[in-house]
Amino acid sequence: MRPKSPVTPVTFALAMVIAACGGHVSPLMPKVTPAGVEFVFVDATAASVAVGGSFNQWSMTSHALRRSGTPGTWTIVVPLPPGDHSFMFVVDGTRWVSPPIAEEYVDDGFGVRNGVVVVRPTPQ
Amino acid sequence: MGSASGMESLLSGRHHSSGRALLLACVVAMTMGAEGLAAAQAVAPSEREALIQLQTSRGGRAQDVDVLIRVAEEAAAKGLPSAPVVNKIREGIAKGVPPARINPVVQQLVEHLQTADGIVREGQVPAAGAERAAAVTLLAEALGAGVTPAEVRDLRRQAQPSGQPPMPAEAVASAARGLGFIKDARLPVSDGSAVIAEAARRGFRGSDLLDLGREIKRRERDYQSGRVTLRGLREAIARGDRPERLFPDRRTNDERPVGRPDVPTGTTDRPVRPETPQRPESPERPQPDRPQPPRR
Repeated sequence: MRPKSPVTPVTFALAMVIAACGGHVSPLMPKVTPAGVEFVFVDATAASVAVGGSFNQWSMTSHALRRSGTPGTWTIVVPLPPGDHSFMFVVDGTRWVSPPIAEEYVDDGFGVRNGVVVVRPTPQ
Repeated sequence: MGSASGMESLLSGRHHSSGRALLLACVVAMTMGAEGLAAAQAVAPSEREALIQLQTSRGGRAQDVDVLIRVAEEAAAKGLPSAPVVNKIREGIAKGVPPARINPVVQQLVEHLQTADGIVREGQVPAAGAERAAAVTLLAEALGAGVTPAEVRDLRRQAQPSGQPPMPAEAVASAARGLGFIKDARLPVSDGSAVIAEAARRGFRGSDLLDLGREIKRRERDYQSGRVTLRGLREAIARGDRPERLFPDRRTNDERPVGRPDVPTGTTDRPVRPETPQRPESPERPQPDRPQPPRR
């Protein structure tokens, strides 16, 4: 008897639909985890995605996201100290994109809104 | 810069007597003072190079960056924290904003830092070093969010418990930033100040004061509609309710808020609407004067 494949036709079809939808996969807010802040960005057409913010002097390259298991989804975990951290995503090395969803937004002064992730201090 | 180069020659070992060199170094350091040292280090040469390289890689001119760096150095010379100024310059250049548009933004930031610095100096609790820089930066953020100096002073007066030591600068700055969130929610400043001041008097930590403002902003529709009131919230704080009881569904590091929150103690007998995360009003605003590379 042939072993059952882990990728069923239904799963495959679902993955194809998600891939075709591209940016329509629900975005996620940055999440504070014990390892750091997990940034997630969804863009099926992007060749590269990075996160730039107040924590890395708005570097467009230092914090590149990696493709995750879900098609079109990019992730990175960045250790950040307690405080407010402004950020945006950099798509394809040149295009700054406001996070589709964030805990807060703040005007960057240049006509665009930065997302803000808040890392709270450990409760005393 | 003469003092700095003198220091450099001392460190390079050109002086034969190490004892005399050390003495000279001490004299130079004392002459320059902490502010002078801060000014000399406002923008490190490597940082300046990085900014210029970033600007020229985008087709800009190096001298335009010098104008911006001068703003940061002038701020540092006044004893203001220059890190947020340099960070804003870097942000603007990285995003491809023309230096002519970055300049007024950093100038305004310096103005806020200067005003914040004045308010911190008025406080009776001396703050120095990183602690002072953090307080000044946070207070400048509050001013940038629309809190006026008069409102900060009034808040500090209200928040000061009678017979207790004066509020530290960090607490004043956090309280002001918390008020900034409430102003952003277009709620009455007097009521917002009363809530924040009550919390400060009750010993809420700086981060709790910030979160208090954030949580009120998250529920701005409930407060605006009268479903819950700032007066009720202040009374709950005055009774001794802590943040975790005031907002059982408040945001924490460990989890995202889920489900329906409980009724905040003493504020209303009606449930608060479940929170929804924020979305930008316009995720990608058109920026006609910035070069937009073609999308793949």
